[in-house]
Amino acid sequence: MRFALVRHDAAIAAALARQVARRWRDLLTVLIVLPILALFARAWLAELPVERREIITGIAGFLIAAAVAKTLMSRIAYHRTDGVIAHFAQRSADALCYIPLLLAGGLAVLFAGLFAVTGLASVGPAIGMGAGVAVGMLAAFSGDRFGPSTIGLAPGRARAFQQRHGLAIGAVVSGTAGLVCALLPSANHLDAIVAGGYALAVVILTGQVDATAVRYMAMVGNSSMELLRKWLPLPIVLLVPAAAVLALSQSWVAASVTAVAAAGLPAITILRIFAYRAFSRVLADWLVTILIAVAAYLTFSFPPLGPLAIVAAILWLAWRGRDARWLVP
Amino acid sequence: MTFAVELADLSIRRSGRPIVHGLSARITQTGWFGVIGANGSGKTTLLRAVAGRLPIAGGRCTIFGQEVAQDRDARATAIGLAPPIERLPASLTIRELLALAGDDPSEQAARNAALWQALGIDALLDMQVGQCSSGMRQRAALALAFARPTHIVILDEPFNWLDPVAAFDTRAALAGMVADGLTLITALHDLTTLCGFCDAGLVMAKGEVSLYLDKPMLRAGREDAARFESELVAALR
Repeated sequence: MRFALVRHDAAIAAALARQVARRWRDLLTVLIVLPILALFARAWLAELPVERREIITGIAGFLIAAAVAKTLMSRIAYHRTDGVIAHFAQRSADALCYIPLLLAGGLAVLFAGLFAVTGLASVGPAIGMGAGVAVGMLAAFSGDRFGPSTIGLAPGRARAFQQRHGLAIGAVVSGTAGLVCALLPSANHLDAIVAGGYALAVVILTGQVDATAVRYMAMVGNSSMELLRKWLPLPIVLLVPAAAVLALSQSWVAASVTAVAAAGLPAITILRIFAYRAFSRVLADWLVTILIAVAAYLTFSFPPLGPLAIVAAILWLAWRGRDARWLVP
Repeated sequence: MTFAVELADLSIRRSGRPIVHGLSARITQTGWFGVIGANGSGKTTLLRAVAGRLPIAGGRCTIFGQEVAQDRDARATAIGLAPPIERLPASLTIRELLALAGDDPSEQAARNAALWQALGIDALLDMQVGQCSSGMRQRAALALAFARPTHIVILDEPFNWLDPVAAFDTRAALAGMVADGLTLITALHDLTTLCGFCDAGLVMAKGEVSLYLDKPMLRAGREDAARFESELVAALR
């Protein structure tokens, strides 16, 4: 059979669409909430200068294309090992055409969607999407080889670190990192660059949320607060003290960089936890990507609305997944 | 008499489709209750709903005399359930699974010593689920049903994937826990366990009870297995 993997995933997508159509809450979201959001975004973007619109579209294209590329890379890995038609995935012809075909389709839909919302069919979104594909593939590739689990920081070890009173040690490490950055010369923003590097390392090492672990914890009766307690303390203690030390030493740029990470990482982690509890992993990843894109857009356009949108999304996802506790679907 | 679980005219729907309808049953305290039925007869749906892992659409469900049909949290808190092995997260160790599901694993080890020994849990504690075979995952899932101290535990086909030695030892350990006061409800496919260990049971077909099994019937099944099997198969059809 030709294009067996593509046909297989298309059948799953069709089944998912039928499932959404059967549930009135999901159908309402697709038919009313998403078009309203798109119209809302279009109206706002129309008032912005073309250059700014292009930057926003480029960023949105980058984020979504990166998510698409990373998902497809993970998907082909799944097909090769655990998929029900793994024998097709071993054949190079099938495997080779799988990613380009779906990527081309996805990017075409994305480009059309961005054009419909922004009215831009210029080079900016195309560059953003191209860069997103490259970064998404690189992230999937490096995640397999240099991810937290392969360098010894598996989710389980991260939690063990918390249980062994390691949070105090984490806070000391964070404070020390902040102090080191504060002592660095601020010429050419060296302090901010080092602080940014530290924040990025924390994001890479502690920012992973295991969807199956979230679902398992909900299934065995863990509440929302218990879920958050398992995933949030480590990134918070590794980032907040560093931001505080940098702010106290008046290294404002470095402090801002670290503070953005200290606020953003927990916010995104909460979004992902509640999304994984409420929806399937693929749907949750898409939803969180869209929510982050909307929040980023709002932050660019009307800064106070970005955080408000994140808070609203967290509350909605927490409400949406409230019945998942104990549930074995 | 207060029953451990009493169901009356129970109905359960999944994705809007009725799976169990008009089911009534009484499960006495301190005993092993077997549920047997064809594939797709509604056993798993019934057991998950009674254990609070699925909502109940209609009818009555009491646990130790308290009506809890519309209180999923109360049912889930009162009843231990072995999670399906395909839903165990590959990245976590068995020790982490146990810690997330209930008491500290050392407390669980002390409380469920005989069962842990039968299942060989000590040797699995630091293994990641992703590295475990189906049999190892099944052992972990059975231990997870007892992660919290509850008086009622539900196991859905508990001996699947277990090797003969582990199945034998686990049956004996479970029988010991029942003798110590546990109310155990299991979905089963093997008549040996049903006749040899269960005190009562029911046969399900197409979402309904097609036959109730009491102690004399099960004893008769032990004595004349061939006849019991033919009667059971007739009820299953």
